Amino acid sequence: MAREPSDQELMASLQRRDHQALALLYDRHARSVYSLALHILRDRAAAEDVTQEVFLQLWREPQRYLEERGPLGPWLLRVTRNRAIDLLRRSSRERWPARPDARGADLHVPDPSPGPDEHVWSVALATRVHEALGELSDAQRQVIELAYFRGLTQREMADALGLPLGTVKTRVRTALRRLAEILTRDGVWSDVS
Amino acid sequence: MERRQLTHEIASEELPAFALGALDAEDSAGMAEHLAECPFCREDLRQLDDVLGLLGTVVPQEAPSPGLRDRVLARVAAEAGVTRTADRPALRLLPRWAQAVLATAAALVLVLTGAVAMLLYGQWQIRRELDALRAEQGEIASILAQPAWWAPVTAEAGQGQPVVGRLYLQEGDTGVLVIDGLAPLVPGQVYQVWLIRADNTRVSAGVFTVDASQRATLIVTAPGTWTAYQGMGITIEPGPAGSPGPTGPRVAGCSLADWQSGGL
Repeated sequence: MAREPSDQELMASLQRRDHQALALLYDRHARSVYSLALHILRDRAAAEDVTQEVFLQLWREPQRYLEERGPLGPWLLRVTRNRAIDLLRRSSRERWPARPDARGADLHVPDPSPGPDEHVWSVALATRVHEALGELSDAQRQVIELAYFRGLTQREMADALGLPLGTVKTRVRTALRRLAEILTRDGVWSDVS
Repeated sequence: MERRQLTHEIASEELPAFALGALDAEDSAGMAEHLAECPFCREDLRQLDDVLGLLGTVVPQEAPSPGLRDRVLARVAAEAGVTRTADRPALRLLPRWAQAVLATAAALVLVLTGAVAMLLYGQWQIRRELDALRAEQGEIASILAQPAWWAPVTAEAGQGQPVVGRLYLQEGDTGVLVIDGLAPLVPGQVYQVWLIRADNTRVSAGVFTVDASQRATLIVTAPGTWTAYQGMGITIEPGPAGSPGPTGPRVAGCSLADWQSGGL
């Protein structure tokens, strides 16, 4: 049976303007891209727009990925997160200062629930990352959640949580450093590549 | 405005917040300056970015509608059709994706500026691509209407015609700069694009030269997102790589103030 081409091989095909390669990459990554956009934007149409833009950008500018190196999946999720947060901030402007809020319901760490067609990398990783988040304190998880999924700045978090800015800064710093440390300790990168 | 330079220790402390996009605009600008000079912090940032990519896996998984796949692939197939056409003299220095963007930008200019655009259109000799461009109406619509935004790029006083190009922005960090009317430079010089942050610090967004017909088209990518910038300026700098900060005369630019307040 023919071996499934790797992401790197598909990206090389994409550079040669092979649009079939994009179809395979879409099948492999669209679900995780869409799910992240949906989690941030809470709007299916907006999440589909972001997903479409992420894959069209990959098609138009594949060299932007190659220049940065590293596995494709997490890179796509970074691009997705930045686009979704940008959209969220822009669409939230009219509602501010009613936002930012820090509703407790947003602050849990969601369980990954991969479907049958999900590409294996994100399933394995979601479990590892979920476990790593479980090693953080509630306060550390909270600032990561607010910054990463809600797009709040440290100052906005301080206002929303009623905490001194310095406290929030310390939490953000220690939370992300600690998360990086745990993931490195657990050798998570070997699951990605 | 003089900004206090970040020490490496402070920069290193603030790097996680920078990676998360959780710094205020001014602090981000200071961090960007430090990153430009500090290979250790750049490597540190790369590793933090990797972690942030992984963090995106920890959400409930749900498939997009099957129709989305069809829409994405139809757009890609349409673009693939366009980019298979032969290179033309005015475009041959551009990679194919840029040619597709340029073709899109050409149609956009046509809609927006009528007669001037007709001239550009003719001179670029892309008549053969009209059919393909029509097929790309959806593409054009997305760059135009999808919270897209554009601004005329105007020349500084004494530089000839007032409008020398246009800047088109997409949501996020990507834009297209279409220049039509900047004089060709002497060998060894380049035009350099600067993005201007709220505190007036400049970040380079690339260099370019124009052809004999005074045109150029380039993708401009903003470090961070467009919302962090209040304007764009173009200076003349030594080539081929340009300068770390603007040193030559500013020849053109535009404001991004409208974009900051919400764009279209």
